[in-house]
Amino acid sequence: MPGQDPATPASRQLQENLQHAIAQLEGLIDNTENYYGVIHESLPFIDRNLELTGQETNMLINYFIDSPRSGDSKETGEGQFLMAETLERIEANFKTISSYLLKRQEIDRLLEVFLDSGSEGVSFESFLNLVGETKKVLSDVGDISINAIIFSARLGDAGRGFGVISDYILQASTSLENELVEIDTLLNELLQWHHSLQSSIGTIDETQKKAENEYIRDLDKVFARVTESMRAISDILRNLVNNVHDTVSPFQELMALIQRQDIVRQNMENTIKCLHSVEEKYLKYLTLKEDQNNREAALNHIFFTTRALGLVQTLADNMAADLTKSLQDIMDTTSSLLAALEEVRDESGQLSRFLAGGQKEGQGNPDQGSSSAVDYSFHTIFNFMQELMAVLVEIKKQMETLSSDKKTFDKSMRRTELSMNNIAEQVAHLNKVKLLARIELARVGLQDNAMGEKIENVVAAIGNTLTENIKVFQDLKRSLSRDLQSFDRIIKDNQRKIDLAVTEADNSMERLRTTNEIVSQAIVALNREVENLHHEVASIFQRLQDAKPLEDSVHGLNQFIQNLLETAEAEKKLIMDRFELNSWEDSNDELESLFNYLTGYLERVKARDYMETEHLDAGSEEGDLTLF
Amino acid sequence: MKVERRGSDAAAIFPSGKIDVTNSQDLKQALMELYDEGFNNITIDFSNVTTIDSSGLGKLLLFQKKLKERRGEIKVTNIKSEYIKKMFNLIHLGKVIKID
Repeated sequence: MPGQDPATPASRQLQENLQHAIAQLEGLIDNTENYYGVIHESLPFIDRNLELTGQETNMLINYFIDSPRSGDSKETGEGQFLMAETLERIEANFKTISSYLLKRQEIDRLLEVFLDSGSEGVSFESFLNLVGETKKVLSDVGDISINAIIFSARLGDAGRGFGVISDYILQASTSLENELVEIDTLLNELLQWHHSLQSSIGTIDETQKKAENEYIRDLDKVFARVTESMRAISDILRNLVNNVHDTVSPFQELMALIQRQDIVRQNMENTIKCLHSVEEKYLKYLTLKEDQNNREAALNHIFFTTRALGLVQTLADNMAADLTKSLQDIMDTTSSLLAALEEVRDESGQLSRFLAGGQKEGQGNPDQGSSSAVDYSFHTIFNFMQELMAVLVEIKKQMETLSSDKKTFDKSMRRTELSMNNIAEQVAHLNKVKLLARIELARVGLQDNAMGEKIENVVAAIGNTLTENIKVFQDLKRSLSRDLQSFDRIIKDNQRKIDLAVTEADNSMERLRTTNEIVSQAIVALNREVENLHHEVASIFQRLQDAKPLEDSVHGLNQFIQNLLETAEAEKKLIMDRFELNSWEDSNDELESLFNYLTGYLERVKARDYMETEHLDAGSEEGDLTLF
Repeated sequence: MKVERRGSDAAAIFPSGKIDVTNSQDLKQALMELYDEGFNNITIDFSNVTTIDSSGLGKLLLFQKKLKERRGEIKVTNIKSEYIKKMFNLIHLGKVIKID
């Protein structure tokens, strides 16, 4: 009746429920976006981190350990790997040291005068012989001293003058005997020193041979071994990084899967558009339903409403199936990815502990605690270097001892020179005594006596021998001192160079220790990145598992639309009954107009099938992947 | 992959070919089964193994750790591949796992 509100509570409810369905769909769009956003936001970040980790690891390996071999040619300048460069430097330092170690032949050459016993020229032996000869000659003075005393006693009173002379001779003899004792002592000292020199040189030679044969000769082998070890380790690390990359390659699949979200959203938006049309038509229906003059229009509107709601239900079913499949695919892919990452994470953890630290001993020396493969590789060289340096320190000490022994030689030589000078003084004195003896013997008329002759001969012989010997002695002393000085200078100079080389090697060793630490830390860092990666994906998986509410919403919505359809059908029956109609032929045109809202291939196919029209173009399957 | 049970505590596994990321799961599976059955001393016979990569190494280390926790161990025997012998030597694997 005119003026009466045409909408019954049930029909008004349908109008409200249509609005509610639209609101639900809009909420679903937001929730779906949030859900897909979990992956959408995280994946690029994860992808980038993975890329960076791979790059960092390769840089670490290339710079610190080993660059990819291309004919084993070494890189120069920037990019040269630190470990190889450091090892080269250490090796070069120690080979230099080897060249500074005086070889036995060299020592023998420098100390030829001290060591060569067969030489006829300047030698320590000839020096000792000379001193020995001097001793022998001087011993005759003792004889003539005794003879002079006896001679003087025999002469009686006449021999009193000669007694003074025999006293002089006795004094000289006593002094000379004292000097001879001193010379004996000095000779022994010098002999001992000489013996010690030979022994020291022998020891130095042995120690140097040890350095050469047990260490320096094996330098190449030891260093090559360490380099090989580190290369083996770097191969394992590269392999691990590659495995991580391969494991996470399904990320790309996920990226493709989340693109499905666009289609799902589009489907929902299209469904909303359809529902808006339904709402519009239904409102018109509500206005016209009681107007007999617009009976046809009202019937068309309600028929459109029911048929359109049927289409919406079909679309909603399609959308639900699509969304469910999409969610399932995402869950399945993420689940597999997570499982694979767990494997890689475990492997990475084990390898990290083994290579860089923390792995407990399986066998061998338990005192080594938790040393890693990297540590073992470096320790090989550290231990080798330390042992070699200990041998070099030993050589240095032996050289220092040799050098300080030189002082003993110098002191003994000075004292020998002093003795020789004292002897020369006494011999000069004896020359005067010889003169006095001649005078005295002439005075007592015994100038042709044998005693006088003996004194003359002995003093003359001593004088001649001593003059000659002192000169030779001076030459020998100069020569020996000079050679020893020269030797001392050379060994000190060489030792300085060796010390420098050892200091450089020490610095290089420090770099190597740093490299050791950095390599170990970087391996640990790589493992941490893998763990983080696993953690990220696990976190994503956890959030994705909250998909159930989303699925429930979709199914709830479908049910709601089903109820809408039933309500609309009931309303249609009501109006048909009121108009006493059993059937009504409505036009498909308006329904088909909804087809234009649809943009996805599958939804257009479903719509076309629902509308039972062949002339509507659903497009091609690729259309699903592009926005209309 | 052939598996031999030798008594109540010892067993042996005989992998062949490569042990790498494509099939290290099989080795892990075999080890896991033996571990779950209570075997503590597991020998892995390398006579037919040609190469091994980080994922294979990771499995060996993982189960060595697990078995060590119950006083067992892994033992690697019969390495024929020179590559594997050299690699194990260079990375000092023998310090952690018994290699015959």
